[in-house]
Amino acid sequence: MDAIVTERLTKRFGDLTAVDRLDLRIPSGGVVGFVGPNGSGKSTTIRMLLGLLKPTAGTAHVLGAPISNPARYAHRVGALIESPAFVPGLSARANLRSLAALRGLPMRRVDEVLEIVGLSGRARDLVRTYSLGMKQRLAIAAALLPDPDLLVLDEPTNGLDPAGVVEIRTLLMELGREGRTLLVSSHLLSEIEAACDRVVVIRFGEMLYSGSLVELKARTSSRIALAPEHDPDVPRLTDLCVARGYAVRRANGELVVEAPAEAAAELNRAAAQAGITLRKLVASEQSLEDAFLRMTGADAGGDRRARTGPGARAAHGSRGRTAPARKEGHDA
Amino acid sequence: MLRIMRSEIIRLMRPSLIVGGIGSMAGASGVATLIGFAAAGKSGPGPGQYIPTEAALAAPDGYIAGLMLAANLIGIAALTVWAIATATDFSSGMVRLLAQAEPRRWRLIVGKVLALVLFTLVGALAATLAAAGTAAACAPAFGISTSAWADAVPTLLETFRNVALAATAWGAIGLLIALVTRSAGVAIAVGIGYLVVLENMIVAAISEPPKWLLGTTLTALAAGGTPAVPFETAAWQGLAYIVGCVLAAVAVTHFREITD
Repeated sequence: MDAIVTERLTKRFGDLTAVDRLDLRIPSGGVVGFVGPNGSGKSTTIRMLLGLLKPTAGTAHVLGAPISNPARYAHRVGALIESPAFVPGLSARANLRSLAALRGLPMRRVDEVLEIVGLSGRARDLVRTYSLGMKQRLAIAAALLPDPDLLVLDEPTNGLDPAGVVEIRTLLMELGREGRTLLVSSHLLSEIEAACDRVVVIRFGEMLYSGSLVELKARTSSRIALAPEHDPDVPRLTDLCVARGYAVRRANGELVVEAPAEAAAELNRAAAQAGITLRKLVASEQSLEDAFLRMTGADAGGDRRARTGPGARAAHGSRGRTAPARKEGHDA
Repeated sequence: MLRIMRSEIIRLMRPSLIVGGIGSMAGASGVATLIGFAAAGKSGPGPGQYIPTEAALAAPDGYIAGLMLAANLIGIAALTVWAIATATDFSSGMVRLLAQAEPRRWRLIVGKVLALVLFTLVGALAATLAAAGTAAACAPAFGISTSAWADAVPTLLETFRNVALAATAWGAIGLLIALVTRSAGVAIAVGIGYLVVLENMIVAAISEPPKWLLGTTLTALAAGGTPAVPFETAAWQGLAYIVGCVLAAVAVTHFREITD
């Protein structure tokens, strides 16, 4: 059974379309990264899945139950939504006891989850004395309270220093090995990729990619930067690359060829045979983060989307649809 | 419902609310009692307030005269506690966890109200004990006879009931305003501003002001009835205000999208 299924799930706030006809299928088990730039609709999607927001259109099911009736699955879902939320004037233990009481859970479960996240030693301290990393761990402890089948963690590494990110990532990997489903959102793929088996990428509320990280990595392209010694040779060098089936574009006075690194020798040889001397020939592998940034756009999604009205929406939609990597590797 | 109430009680048990809520109710009651004894017979009725005479203090219900003097302060403390307990859920983001764990949001509100009623009853009890204790300590010092006080247990219970009911109504108003505005500060300012200032202006401006006005009702309720509003009328009106506020809070919570 799939843990999460959405069909044309849409959420509008007035003129702003936060989530646009989102189709998702997240199978049970494993850690799934839910990534996109800030303001791309991740949190809105998560809030709809958890019953905090009502969708404008579309349907969704969580653990087989419709999101119109979240009471049917709430006891099987744990969540960290955006930022840790606790009463600062209470101890960590009291905060968790309050949530455990709300869910009708035995109080021994509080000690168990504090142990899992490594906060047993500070359990009686007031939350206001906690560092951000400790609050994040406490929030994960709160999410673990119901021993959930589905764990939804929205930006669990937000605001953490590198050591904190590693700490949370290690915890996610441990939780992922326990057989439950983890949906982990982040605006930085690099922060969670080590913990994820699969990844869903969205931007402007639309899905750009859904599939395995292995497949995404396999599809990351390489580039070769070429520059002839004499500028008048640029058209001939371009034709030479295109004739071999490679996409070429000009950037900063040089040619950027979408080609594997091994093609560098072939292009060098061809240029020499054509009497073109190269002053630059550099092959570079594209990283997964580069692929993510290229897919989602380097600009912040939130700023762009804030100006989106009904008319402008279509323009963004088409922009998204013409993005080079849109739904590349979609196997959902 | 009990689990939700229990969850809420755990969150209410923070030192700031216990000291600021129950402590201020008891403190206001004790101070009002002390002032009542110190000023007895030395001044006439003031605007919106009265000072008991020495004879009134020596009457069977004299030892809880301070509780009635402090009724509005106790109400303001209750409004503040209810507003803070409600607004903190939004300002801390706790509402996200609560609504995710219990999607039937009406249960969250009803559970919260039950917990806050219990908190208010404890506060009113502390205020009653503070009034009685302060009166017992003050009476010899100010030459007030205490011989009639022994027969006053029924009056004590009645006064406790009246003050607790009025404080609950104050609190329900604080809860509703805090829920709508998501701000304890705004709720306290609006609630107290209306009850202490605006309604007094309305009453002063109209020759025959309605007897169902909120402040009029709560004052009559806390005092066990006034010449203008008998206790039974005040009690029904007070209950209507409480139920109305809770129903409105349930409706707001049900239809609101949680974006906090």
